[in-house]
Amino acid sequence: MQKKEFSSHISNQLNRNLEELFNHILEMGGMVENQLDMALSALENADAKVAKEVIRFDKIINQAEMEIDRLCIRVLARQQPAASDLRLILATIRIAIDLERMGDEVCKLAKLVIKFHKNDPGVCANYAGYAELVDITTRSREMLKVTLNAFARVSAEDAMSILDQEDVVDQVYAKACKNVTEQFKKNPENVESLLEVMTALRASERLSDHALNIMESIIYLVQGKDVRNMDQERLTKFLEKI
Amino acid sequence: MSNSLVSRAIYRELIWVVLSLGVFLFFAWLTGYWAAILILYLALYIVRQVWSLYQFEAWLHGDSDAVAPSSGFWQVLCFFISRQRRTLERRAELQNSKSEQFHAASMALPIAIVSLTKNHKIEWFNNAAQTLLSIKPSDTGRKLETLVRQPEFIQYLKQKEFEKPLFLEAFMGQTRTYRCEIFDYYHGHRLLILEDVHELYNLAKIRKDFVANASHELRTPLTVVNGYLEMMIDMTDQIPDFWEKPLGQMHHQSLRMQAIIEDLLTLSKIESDTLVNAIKVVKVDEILKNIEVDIRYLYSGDYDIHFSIEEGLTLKGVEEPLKSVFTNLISNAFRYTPKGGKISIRWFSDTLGSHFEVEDTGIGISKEHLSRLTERFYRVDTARSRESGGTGLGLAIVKHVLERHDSELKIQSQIGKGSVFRCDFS
Repeated sequence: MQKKEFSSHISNQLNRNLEELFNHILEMGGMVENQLDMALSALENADAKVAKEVIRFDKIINQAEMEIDRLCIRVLARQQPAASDLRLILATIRIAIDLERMGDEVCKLAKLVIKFHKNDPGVCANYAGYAELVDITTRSREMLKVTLNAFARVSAEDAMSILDQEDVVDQVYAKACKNVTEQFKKNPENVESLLEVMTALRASERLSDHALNIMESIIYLVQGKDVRNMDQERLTKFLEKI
Repeated sequence: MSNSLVSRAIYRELIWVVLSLGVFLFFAWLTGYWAAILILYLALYIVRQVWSLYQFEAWLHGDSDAVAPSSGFWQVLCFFISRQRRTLERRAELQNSKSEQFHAASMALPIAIVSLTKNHKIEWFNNAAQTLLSIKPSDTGRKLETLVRQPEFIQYLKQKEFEKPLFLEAFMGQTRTYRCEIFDYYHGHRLLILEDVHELYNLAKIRKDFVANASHELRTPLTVVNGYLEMMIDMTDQIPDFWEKPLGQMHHQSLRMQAIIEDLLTLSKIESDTLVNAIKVVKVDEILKNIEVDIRYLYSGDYDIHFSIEEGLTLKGVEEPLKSVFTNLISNAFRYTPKGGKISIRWFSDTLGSHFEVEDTGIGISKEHLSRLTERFYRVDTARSRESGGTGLGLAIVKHVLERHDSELKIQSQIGKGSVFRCDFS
């Protein structure tokens, strides 16, 4: 069941194609990581210039996704892989979609920075939920790093270490939502800005969800088991088994 | 020693042969079957040798319960072989400890070192790399770019030639400056070196900022001082004669200070990247013609001046800094050439590219100064250059501007005969 290294095939071409695919997806992951880093520094320093850079960078990520799709189709059409190789291709397609979505969510964060910069530069840090926003984004960044490293090492154990982080993110998100709703009631004149913060909070929470999706794809790749529809109990039981 | 060993072996073998042969011959004499006994003896001797050979082989392969053959020649052979073995072992041990020491040294280095194959697969790395790149010993054999995914880094890794180091402003989630370099070594392997240069980088930045700010702040007060000095000089009738000379000196020096500050500001402007943005075609021939007019107006009586400018020869670059390169080099030539000397300025092109050349018959520069000539405030002869009114920054400016244009200043000089300053543009 386990995923092996890329030299296990008699067909050299297949080995090479699969490895290329593997490298491409991680390269794309690196782009999203970089984009997320830039977005974080834009958030922390309220830097609209960096935020614009983030939005421009998204185009490159979209192109990378298309390239990965092309490679997947090529391998499927030419070599008809089976078992762990087929799972690799399926996981790759899914991870590419998640990464591309992550790129879009990061753009939403950048848009928040730009909008606030236009209205009143430097004040966005005072809004309710802003500290939580940075917190969630930082945690999502860490989760993405861990999952991508786990993918590079083809290790399900490493990937699963982000499950606790996801719980923390959910708690922080709930707290942030409460804060923002309170502010809605207290300062109705700030509704527009608070709505923006809300959108960004939602986006950053989605980031961690996508990281979790990638983790599920990795478990599918390594263990051959689809864990997407498992509830908490069954999931922990399954995880204890491996 | 070996001789005596061999002779002793022969001696012992002979004794054995003589004694055993004696016993067999005695039996033969007793029984009378001479031929049969002799054949038996021969067979026994052969069996003894074959047995020894068998023992020897077992011993050579290092079987645990094998004993070295004890008969005659074989024993000596074993002795020689074991002696050879011991020296080899000792040498291997020495090599081993040396390579282990080397390994330990590379582990202890504070800079991160990763050895890669041609396909960027990780071969080995040191402790610093482990912490800096967050890779584990189990990652050996994986591709480096799958674990270190920074886009700039991947791009740097993918290129074929590694001439320039890569500076990473943020790396692996840390906003520090890292210097990354890759070397080819040992049959197509690659060595990646990663160093934290944050402090150095910051220091350089602080130095640049300081110079720029200080010169900027000094400029305004100096302008005021200068203005009042000029005013005082103009009012000669109200000022005692005694002050005339000191005032002149003060004015002269304050002008010099102003020139230095202007040059410092130019330098820091060149060092910051703002200049690179405005690259366009510069009409060097026209610039030089304008300079020629000024120069001829100033010096035509005192010097033998030759200008040879190729018509229509242009250059891609930034105009203002290039202009200061030409004026600096030309004014240097006049400054360090005694009156009556010959100065020729050439702007020409050949198959290698375009060249700007200033040749003079001045005092020349001795060899030990050539390499340091472009340093800031470096003086070959302190007294003379102050007198001649240079700021000490001219050649530093020239060097920086040329670097920005992928060119280099080449100087040939002979004391007493003169110098040639040349810039080659590709």
